[in-house]
Amino acid sequence: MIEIKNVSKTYSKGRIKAVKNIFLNVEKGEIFGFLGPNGAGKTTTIKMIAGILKPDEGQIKVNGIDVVKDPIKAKMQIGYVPDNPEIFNRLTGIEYLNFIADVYEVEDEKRYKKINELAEMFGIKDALNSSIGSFSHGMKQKLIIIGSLIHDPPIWILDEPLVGLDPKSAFILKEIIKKHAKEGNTVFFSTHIMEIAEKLCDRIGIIKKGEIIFTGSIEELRSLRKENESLENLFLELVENE
Amino acid sequence: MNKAFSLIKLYINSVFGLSAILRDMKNNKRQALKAIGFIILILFSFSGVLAMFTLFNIKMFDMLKPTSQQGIVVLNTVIMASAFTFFVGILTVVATYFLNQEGDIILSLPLKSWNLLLAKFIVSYISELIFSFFIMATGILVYGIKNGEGFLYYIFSIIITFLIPILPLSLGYFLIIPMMKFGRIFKNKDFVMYFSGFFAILIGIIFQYFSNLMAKPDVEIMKKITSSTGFFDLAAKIYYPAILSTKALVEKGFFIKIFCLITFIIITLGCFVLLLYLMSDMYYETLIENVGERKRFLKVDLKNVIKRKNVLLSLLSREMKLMNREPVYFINGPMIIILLPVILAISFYFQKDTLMTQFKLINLKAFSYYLNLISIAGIIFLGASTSIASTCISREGKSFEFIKSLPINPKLYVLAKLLHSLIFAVLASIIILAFDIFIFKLSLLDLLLIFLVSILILAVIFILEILIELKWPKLIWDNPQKAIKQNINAVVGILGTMGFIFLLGSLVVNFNIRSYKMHFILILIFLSLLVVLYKKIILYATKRFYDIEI
Repeated sequence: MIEIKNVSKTYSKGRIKAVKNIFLNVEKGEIFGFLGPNGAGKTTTIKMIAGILKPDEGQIKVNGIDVVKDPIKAKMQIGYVPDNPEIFNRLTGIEYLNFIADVYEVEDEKRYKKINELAEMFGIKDALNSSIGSFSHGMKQKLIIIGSLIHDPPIWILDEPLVGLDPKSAFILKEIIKKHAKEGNTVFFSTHIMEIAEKLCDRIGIIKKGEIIFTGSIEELRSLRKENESLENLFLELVENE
Repeated sequence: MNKAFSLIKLYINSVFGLSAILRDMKNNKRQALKAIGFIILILFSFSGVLAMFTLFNIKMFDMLKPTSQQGIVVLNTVIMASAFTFFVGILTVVATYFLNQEGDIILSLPLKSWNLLLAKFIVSYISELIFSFFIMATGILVYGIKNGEGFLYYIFSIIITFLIPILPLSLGYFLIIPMMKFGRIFKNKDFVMYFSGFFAILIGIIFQYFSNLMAKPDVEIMKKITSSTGFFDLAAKIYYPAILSTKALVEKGFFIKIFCLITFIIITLGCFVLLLYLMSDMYYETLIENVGERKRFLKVDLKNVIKRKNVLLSLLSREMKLMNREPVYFINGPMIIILLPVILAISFYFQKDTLMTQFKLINLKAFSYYLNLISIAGIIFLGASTSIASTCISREGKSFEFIKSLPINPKLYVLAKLLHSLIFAVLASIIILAFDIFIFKLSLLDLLLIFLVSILILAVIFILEILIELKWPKLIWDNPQKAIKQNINAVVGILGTMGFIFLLGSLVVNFNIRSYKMHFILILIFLSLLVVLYKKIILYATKRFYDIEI
């Protein structure tokens, strides 16, 4: 599970407040969708959970482990998919996956099974021996997704994971997300698209200008809307109104 | 034309960051000072070469004055500046082909093909002008001052200096564009980058040859290069514009001066206009082909390639692959270890008679001792010149964020970087020791001492460089050149090491130290430093790794 308590983050020596005193709990086996407009603080929050950014104040725990105090142990629990898959272009796909598996201390047999299964599903098995730089954006995204699952992470964090994926791969990813959560793991992902959150998430959180303005199930969000109003319109109303 | 100017402005800002410096001068003075300091450091690193050029021109002028041939000083300068612009220009042209400033966005804009070529040409022209300006200044000022030239000479010199890079650079484009268009192999970006790296070695060797000539410009050499079959005559025959621009400066009659200048301007600008007229479309086609280039995928049996490695070895292997496979990193980093000894060997070859005579004059024991010290200095310089440690965090760029998301122990992360630097330091020592074994036949004890002292000193230098990188990493860049070639940490690393070698050399010379006791003192000092600094870096990295934010 993920516990975020009173977390804030500023940039430019405190001049820009990216995240303001947020509280959030995501349970085991839950798929949590994190929504908000551009610049609302989604990526900053995700980067703080993944241990990339340090909160100015507050505490983040993954499966009871403090991300700041015990970062290596905490990160062992996490699989992370960044919003931009442009990394290590000079490695081959398989070198990248071997590196990630080494860092997560995954045994040969397990990593083979996982890579084989997921690369087959995403249709990039034949490309794994080629340099990542020669991959398309979507292929890079798929490779990162495979890497993030190589150690069966109890907590899977994805930042805009569907961007750049073709419809078939997007469908496969959604199925994997559901399966991963069903196995008792936590899934936390950000998206701009209400429809995806509606179909996939057990609960959602909406962030606006660094503050969480809604957390709850889709049903709870629906109860807020006016008659004949779509969820998308309600979402737009929530993020646009002061 | 407005579109072309907008593109030129965009390219200049993107490559030289002038507007960023101006903006920083208003809003972020510290950042602006850093950038200006970096430029000064770069200029400072060229000051030795410029001083050598100036001295050479002064000596040449004095030798040629009695025969009234001192105008050759100007001809020499013009040929040097043109040759430099031509050869380095080819490298710049090749490098700018792949800087991806066009990207898909620029190519999708309604720009004419000549707009793109003109904008790219101007960027290359500015880079070349900066260097050729300094080369020209050395000869022009020496001739002008010593020959008591007037106002017109300096005005003509400025015009010619600004025009000089245009012709060789245009010729460079005339050569490279068809190669990019029709040479299949030149469509492979990596091949081209490595090719230009080796081309740079060739330039380095030629430069070294002339530097050796310039270091001791005696009468014999002067005769060789100024005779009717000599180098200048040959160069002038091949490249007639050099004669024109020289005549515009050194001829006595006003009309002949004006005639030569105007002819030079017409030839220069004519060639440039011809380039835009004839090659723009082909240039545009090569850009589109480069953007569309995709590699074929290579199938593999996963069972054979999936293997678990120890985390430290995995980090080290990642480090080495990322550095050696990126041509910009490899050429400016590990390849230096091969490049510098080749230049050294050639330099030795050209001077072997003089050097060997001098060696015979020194007694054998003193010779081994001094060679021992020179070898240590050589290994330290080579090891630090790879910039592996001094750019180790910066090279990660924005991927550093992803590295932070992984459960990597900062201690292992830093250790992998240190080991990476040390592996290439050992390689550097093997090359230098090979010289010592096969040419100078040094004893085993000498070889062992050279190896121990230099590796220990390098380990300390590497730790200091990594500490600097941890403190001030340059992680935001849009092309890898900026992480290694425009990284102040790399310049500080190389200049700092040179300063250290100079200091050590001064100590030996000033105090006339001729005992091997110094080696043992050095081992003791640097071993203690290594232990202290290693503990310090592990402690610092453990905290700092998590504090670095992009």
